[in-house]
Amino acid sequence: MTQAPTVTQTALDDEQVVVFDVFNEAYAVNIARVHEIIRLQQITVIPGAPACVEGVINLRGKVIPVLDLRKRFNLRANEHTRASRIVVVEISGQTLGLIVDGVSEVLRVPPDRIEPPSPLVAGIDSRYLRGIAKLDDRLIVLLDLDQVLSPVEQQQLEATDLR
Amino acid sequence: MTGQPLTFDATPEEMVIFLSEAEEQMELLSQDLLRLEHEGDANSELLQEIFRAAHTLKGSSGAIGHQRMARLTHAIETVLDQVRHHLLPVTTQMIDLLLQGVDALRVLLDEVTTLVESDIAIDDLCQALNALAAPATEGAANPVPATSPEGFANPSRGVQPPAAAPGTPPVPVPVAVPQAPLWRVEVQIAESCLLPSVRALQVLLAAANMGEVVKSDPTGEVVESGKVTAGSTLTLWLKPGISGDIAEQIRAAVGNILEVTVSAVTPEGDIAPSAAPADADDASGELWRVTVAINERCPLPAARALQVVLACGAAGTVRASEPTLEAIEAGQANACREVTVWLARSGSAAETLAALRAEVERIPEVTVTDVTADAVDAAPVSSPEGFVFPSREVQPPAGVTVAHLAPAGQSIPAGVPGAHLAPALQPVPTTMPGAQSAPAPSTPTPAKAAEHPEGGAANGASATHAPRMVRIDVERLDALMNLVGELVIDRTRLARIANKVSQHSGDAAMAEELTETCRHLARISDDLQDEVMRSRMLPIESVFSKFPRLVRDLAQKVGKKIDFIVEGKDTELDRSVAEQIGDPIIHLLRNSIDHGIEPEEKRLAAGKSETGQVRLAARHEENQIVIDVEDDGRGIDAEVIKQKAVSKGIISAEAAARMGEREALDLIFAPGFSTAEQISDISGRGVGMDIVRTNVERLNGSITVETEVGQGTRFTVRLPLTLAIIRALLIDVAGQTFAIPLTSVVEALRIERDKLRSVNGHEAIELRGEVLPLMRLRDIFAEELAAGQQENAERAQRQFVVAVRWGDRRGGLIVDALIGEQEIVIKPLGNLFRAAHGISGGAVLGDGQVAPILDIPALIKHIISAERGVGVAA
Repeated sequence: MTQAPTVTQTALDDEQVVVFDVFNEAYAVNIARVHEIIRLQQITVIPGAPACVEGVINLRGKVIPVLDLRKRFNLRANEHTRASRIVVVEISGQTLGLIVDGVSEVLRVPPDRIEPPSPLVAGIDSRYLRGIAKLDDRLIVLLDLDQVLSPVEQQQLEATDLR
Repeated sequence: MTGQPLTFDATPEEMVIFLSEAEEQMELLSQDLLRLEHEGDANSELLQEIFRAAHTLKGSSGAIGHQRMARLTHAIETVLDQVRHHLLPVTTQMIDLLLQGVDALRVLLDEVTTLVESDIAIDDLCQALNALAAPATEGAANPVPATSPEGFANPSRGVQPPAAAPGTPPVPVPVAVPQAPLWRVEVQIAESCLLPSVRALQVLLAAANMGEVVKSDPTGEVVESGKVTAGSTLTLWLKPGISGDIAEQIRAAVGNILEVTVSAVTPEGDIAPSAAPADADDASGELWRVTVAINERCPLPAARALQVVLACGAAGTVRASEPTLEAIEAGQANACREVTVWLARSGSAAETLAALRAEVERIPEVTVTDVTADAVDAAPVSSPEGFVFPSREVQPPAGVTVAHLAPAGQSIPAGVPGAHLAPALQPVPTTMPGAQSAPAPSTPTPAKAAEHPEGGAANGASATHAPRMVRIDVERLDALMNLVGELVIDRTRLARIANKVSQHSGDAAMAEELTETCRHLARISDDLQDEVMRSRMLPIESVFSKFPRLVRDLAQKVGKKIDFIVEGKDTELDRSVAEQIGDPIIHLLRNSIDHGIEPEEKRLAAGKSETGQVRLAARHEENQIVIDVEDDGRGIDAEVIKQKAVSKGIISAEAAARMGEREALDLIFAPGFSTAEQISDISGRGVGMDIVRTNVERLNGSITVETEVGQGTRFTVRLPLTLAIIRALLIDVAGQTFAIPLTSVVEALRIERDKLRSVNGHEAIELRGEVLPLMRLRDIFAEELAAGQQENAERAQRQFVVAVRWGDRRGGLIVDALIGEQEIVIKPLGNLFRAAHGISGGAVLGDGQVAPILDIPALIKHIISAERGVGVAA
């Protein structure tokens, strides 16, 4: 019996999230922050960009930066696969793409299933995390998008050296 | 009063128009004031223009209810009016004061945006201006020249003697004098016009400049109170004070005004129209005297009085009032406790009373005390704004006189005013709905209605006279430009697809058709791009116009005589460039005046004229706009610059010794370099030439300097005409495409490997006798590009070199391959890439890929500093 009443009951405070994989771990961001999900396309490298920035892509005439979340989390960078996707999100007014290993589903998460982040989970820096959602036997890491960018910004502001 | 929130009587759209027009008028005013100072008051055209600007400002600021602005413009206008009539001589003090006035107006204009009262005090300024004008102020406040004494000398200050009392000619007015024929001018105000009252006022002013406006419908008062509606007709009767082809001149002067169309200019003989008296006649028993009391405790009775008169205007046609609008607006009604308004209105007493109460009693602190039907004869002689209503008794009806004059028209010798009837100049039947513009459309003046039976139809016909100019928000133009950018990208993309199809498809005819369509699309999008670009172009005058004032003030401050010459004002450039080029030019002008031009004694000692010359010139050269800022000052001594740079630690003494003159001059653009104490005795702010260069380069432009010691200095700024779409050379480095703006490319070469030289350990080639230092883009970029791309490019027998320039500096970039030329659409990369050295932006290519655009100035700096071993730029 895999009855999951909390998931089927659509309480108003349920948070809808987009779940995706990065290095075999499930992550999620609030669906309201996701503009769209696109296939991986050719990325133009911009020399001198911050390390986690993979480059830029042309999103229907708009040039947007693309971040590789694996690099962001200091995980080993694999080759991108056919399942790889770019999740286009908005962070502090800027549209940017996050490269993920694959997008799995959209879920409703009741607020009482969200626990504060623990450094032990997922093995990535907890400052990027907003919380951990425990659904049945799964753990989903809720990303704090604003934190994903701000260290980068600091990094690029410091990087005034001409190399 | 400081910090008081303000409210204005205008919709947001009107505000936008008001703001942009007020800015225009202020700009015109300050420009013209400078010309006035320069040329004196001999140029009557200038005097009229300048007065008109001031008056329009007064009218429009009054119309939106900006009291302080209206007051100040009134004071300015008063002075200008006297100057115009040569009652006041033009002095430097006067110009100073007037310019101060314009400055204050700008502050007041800002209030319109902030909606908070600024702390600027205009009382002193107004007083000073009034004192200046004092000797002959009477009547000067009025828009119509003082040559119409009956117009303003007695603007029904009290109850006037009855106008059309039988057999009593009104005041002995010049209107009645023969040989002064009247012209009737009908003007249609565009439906789309947002500030119709301002346009109407401009028409009246333009007419007043050509003679005497005997009467107008709507009256000047209605116009000034902002009651003109868009799409209405303004009719005025003009007694011309000009000779020659009067109709033509009227058309030209009035036709210049935006959003209005002259629908008829017809001679009416030497009499005023019968319309007005007929009005009064037919309105017999419909003229109401309305008495309104203002509460004793009312702190601002004048404001209430004004509201009362305006409110009455909404209920009918105000024939006269006591006190008059003029008097109220001039502040002469500050203790007034009762307002009497003569109102023309059809309908019963009860209706009139109800309408009045509805309109008037909305105003706080006032009560309607009396409404009585008044005999027509009891109406004051003149309309409140002073336009005389000529009496029917003394003058035959208009139609008769026209009939009488018209046949003789052609035979009357030229030079007699009104002789040229020019029937050809009446393309539209003179049947415009005159009553349309009356404040209460429900009460058309009967005479008008009779005169123009098909008024409504004529109004409809006038739609063909749509305005030829429209105002477009800059944002909309930007959006349009972006869309064109998209189109250009897709066009290139489509061309590639067509190419592929023709190569792979078996259907040759189909492929041919596709290719043909693509070609056509390319042509159309090219044209579209041209048109959109052109619509974004504006003359550089919009930038230059503020400089004469700046130069004047600066010259005064440093105590130098400067002759400022501006050339090529009509040169057009893209709005986005125009917006950003102002500051760098200001810097350069400052630099020329502050550091370039010597003090008088030194100039005389050097055998030069004591007046220094600063020249600002713009012109087009290829696809660039070139701006020169040139002075005939002391020039720049390269040796002094070197010493200074050494002492500031910008370069080493050895580097200075090795440096050529050109390089030394370049040092003035180095950050932290200010020459103020070295080559100028005048302590001024150190002009940041590095900022100038940075700003110019951000626009994909360049700046160079030429100088000769003792003779002068010329700075030349080169800018692209547009910032959005440029042509670029595409190159390949380690498998990735990069774009180089074509304006930076000198040439692209393929050289044999053994032609590479080593100069001081750096690669270089000899190009037409000059050593061109080289840089391998791979060395800079490759490490970040795909790692697997380490191919044999470096070992290749042939190398591709792109020679690029930045100002007059050159350098060569070694690239892996040349791809070709393409039109690219520049896209900003955003903050994340601010630190990306050597990259200035992104370009979307025809295949949809993004290519980084090389930052040529940064790369050349890099080459130079590597070569010299000294950092030039931080």
